[in-house]
Amino acid sequence: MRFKDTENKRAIRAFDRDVLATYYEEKGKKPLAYFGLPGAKMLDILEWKEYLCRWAAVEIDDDAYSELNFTALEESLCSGLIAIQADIDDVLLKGADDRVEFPFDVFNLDYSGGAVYKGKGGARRLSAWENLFRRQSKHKHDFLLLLTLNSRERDEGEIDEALKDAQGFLDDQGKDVLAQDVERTISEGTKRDKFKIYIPILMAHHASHYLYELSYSPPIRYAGSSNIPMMHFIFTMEQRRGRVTPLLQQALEQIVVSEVYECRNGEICRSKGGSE
Amino acid sequence: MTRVEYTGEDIGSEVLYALSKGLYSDAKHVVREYLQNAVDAYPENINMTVQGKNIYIYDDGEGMDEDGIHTCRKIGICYKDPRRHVGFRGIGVWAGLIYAKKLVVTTSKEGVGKRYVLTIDFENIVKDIHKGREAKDPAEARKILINVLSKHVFLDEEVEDETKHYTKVELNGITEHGEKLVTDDEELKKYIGSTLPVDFPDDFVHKKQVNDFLSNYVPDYRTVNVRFNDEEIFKPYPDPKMDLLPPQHYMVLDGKRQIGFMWECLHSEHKKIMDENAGLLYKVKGFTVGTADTSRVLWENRDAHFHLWYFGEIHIVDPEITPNSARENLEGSDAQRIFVVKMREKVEELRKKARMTSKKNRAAKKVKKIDEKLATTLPDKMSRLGELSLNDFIGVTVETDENLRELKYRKKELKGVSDPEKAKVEKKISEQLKILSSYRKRITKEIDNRDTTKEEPAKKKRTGKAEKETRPYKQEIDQMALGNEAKNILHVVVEILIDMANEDVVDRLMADLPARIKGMKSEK
Repeated sequence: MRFKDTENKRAIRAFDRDVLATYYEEKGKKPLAYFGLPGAKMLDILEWKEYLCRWAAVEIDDDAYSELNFTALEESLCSGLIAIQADIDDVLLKGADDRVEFPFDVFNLDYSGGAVYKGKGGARRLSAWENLFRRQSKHKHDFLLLLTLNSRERDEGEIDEALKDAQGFLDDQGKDVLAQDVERTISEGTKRDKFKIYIPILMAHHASHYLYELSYSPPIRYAGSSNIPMMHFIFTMEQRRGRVTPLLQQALEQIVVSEVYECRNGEICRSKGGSE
Repeated sequence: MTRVEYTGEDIGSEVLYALSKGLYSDAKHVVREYLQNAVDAYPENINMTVQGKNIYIYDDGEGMDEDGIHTCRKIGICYKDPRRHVGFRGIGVWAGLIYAKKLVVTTSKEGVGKRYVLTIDFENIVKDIHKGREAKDPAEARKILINVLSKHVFLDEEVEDETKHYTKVELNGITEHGEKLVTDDEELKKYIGSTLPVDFPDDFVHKKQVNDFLSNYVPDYRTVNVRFNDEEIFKPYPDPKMDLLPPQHYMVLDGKRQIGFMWECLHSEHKKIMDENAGLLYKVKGFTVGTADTSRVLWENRDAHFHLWYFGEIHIVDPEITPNSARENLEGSDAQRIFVVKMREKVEELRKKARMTSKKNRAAKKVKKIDEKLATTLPDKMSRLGELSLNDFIGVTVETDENLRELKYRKKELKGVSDPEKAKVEKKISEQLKILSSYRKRITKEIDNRDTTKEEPAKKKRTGKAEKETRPYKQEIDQMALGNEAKNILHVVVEILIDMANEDVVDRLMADLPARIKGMKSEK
């Protein structure tokens, strides 16, 4: 399936470009290795090219995969390209061919669907993300994770459950105010409010399990093509040793108090709230 | 996708059957077919990449309109002008039949506002095609074939920007027949460089002269920019360490008609170019036909090795001369035979040049070797000639004689050679002959000296008995692989030793000599 580029998407790509530029500087200007879903036109790779050295592009759709390869030919993106025709979650779970070499520096998981989608074999996407952490941690490699999801999540209570776990954890750590914030989100928040916390909490758990220190930028919500409500997350993961519990606590504190940005008509600004 | 209805006019069935059995000895030739089509579209750029088991080729050439794409899907039927285009047998898009599961050609021609997507399900065509082969009557076979193709070929059109012109070819799911294509990028890159009409890189020192010659003489000569994985591909040439002389140009004529143009660079040291790119390549419309070995037939057998002394190209411009289907040689025809005859005349010039230079080189090499000896060991030995042990004396004599013989031979060989450096070598030979002849005179004198010093007592004692005693030794010496001079010296030595009644020494000498002679020869 080929997705239409929108002005919101363009604005977010430009925003991410600055994120990448900063990350690139922080990493000593060493060109970054990309893994993700660039789409048939490879717009993100084209925009971020100056910071990248190689790109593993995953695309499942026949036509889009073919177009992606021709885009690479037309835009001179072949030299660093590893194109994989597969489901990206499968690639993260089972690996692809031996052309895909982990670790990577930037993951751009630009999904069109949500997180807890019930494909074959249960919540494969969640397992795929965990595997991403496992693969990266094997190499003790830092990374930047850009994650875009449909925030109109049709879950079966998984999100509330995850939030309750986080609330319990914060309670145990004596972070009463934060725990109450989470509780309020569970009882009064919209789906999007919950989603805004749920995804980072999930990532914070994986991060702490695989000894990563998570830095979290406010998520950006926007209307995608066909007006689908989307949310874009930016995480920076840095390998640390021996600070497991504080890492999670620190991450949760950051997540719960985080504000949210909004992208409208191609402009990113602080969200003034509002329902879906 | 929309199926395409085939008719009998669309199929040259034998071509399809041939393709289904594998027309090419090397899967890389399949890629060349598609690249040839791209070149025929007059593009500025051709880009290619291999991803997984798929091959993608993009060219920004003229592209095809509806008529073009319909022609392109036909098999064994071609409307291309062989004078203008490289591909002309109607194999075109069908070349990959057994090498890929699917072919997708997407094309757009400027001004049309549409792009055409031709999809050919090679995998299923190959599966079904043999049904046609099994049919008893040709009409039925053709009918089956038409059905098979109509079932597995699809053509769709989509809206496209009117200004766009391109053709994209996707070979999807390379099969085991073409496995090498997707597993060895380096090999494929090398192949493209040596086959397509790409340019030389700037670091080839004779690039300008060669290009000027080709542009001025070869009609419609052009090069294309081909990139593989974004890397520009160039024509290979021998390692710059193999210093090549500036190119020489030749025109090949049949009567007054131009049928070919050749340029060649000879190794500056007039010897074999030790590089895989040595030799002369046939080119038709800029494309290589076969390998450097293909033009080897132009050389006389015994001198065929000389073709590796040259690096160059033979551009065939006679439109009657075409490559064979597999592009591995020229198609046999009257025109081709005339071309070979005319080329042989040109190559004969190269052969003569190489042979003469070879003679000069060999002489120069020998002269150099003798020069080294004359500058080091020989003069020293000659200054102590009277003091030398018998073995050393024999050694000096043999060496001098052999060098004299060698120089006389080289001098004779150089007589028919015309080479700018010939006079220099000849002069050196004369100098060396002079020195060595003077050495030989001194050696002869020394032989006499060595003989006369022992003559008086020996004369007294020499009897019939002594003669009888020396005979078996002399006979043994005569059997040895030595020059006459050396044998004579040894005869004298044996006589002296027998005269001295020193048979033990003679026996030891005779036992030792064969091994020493062998040693001396191997040292040489």
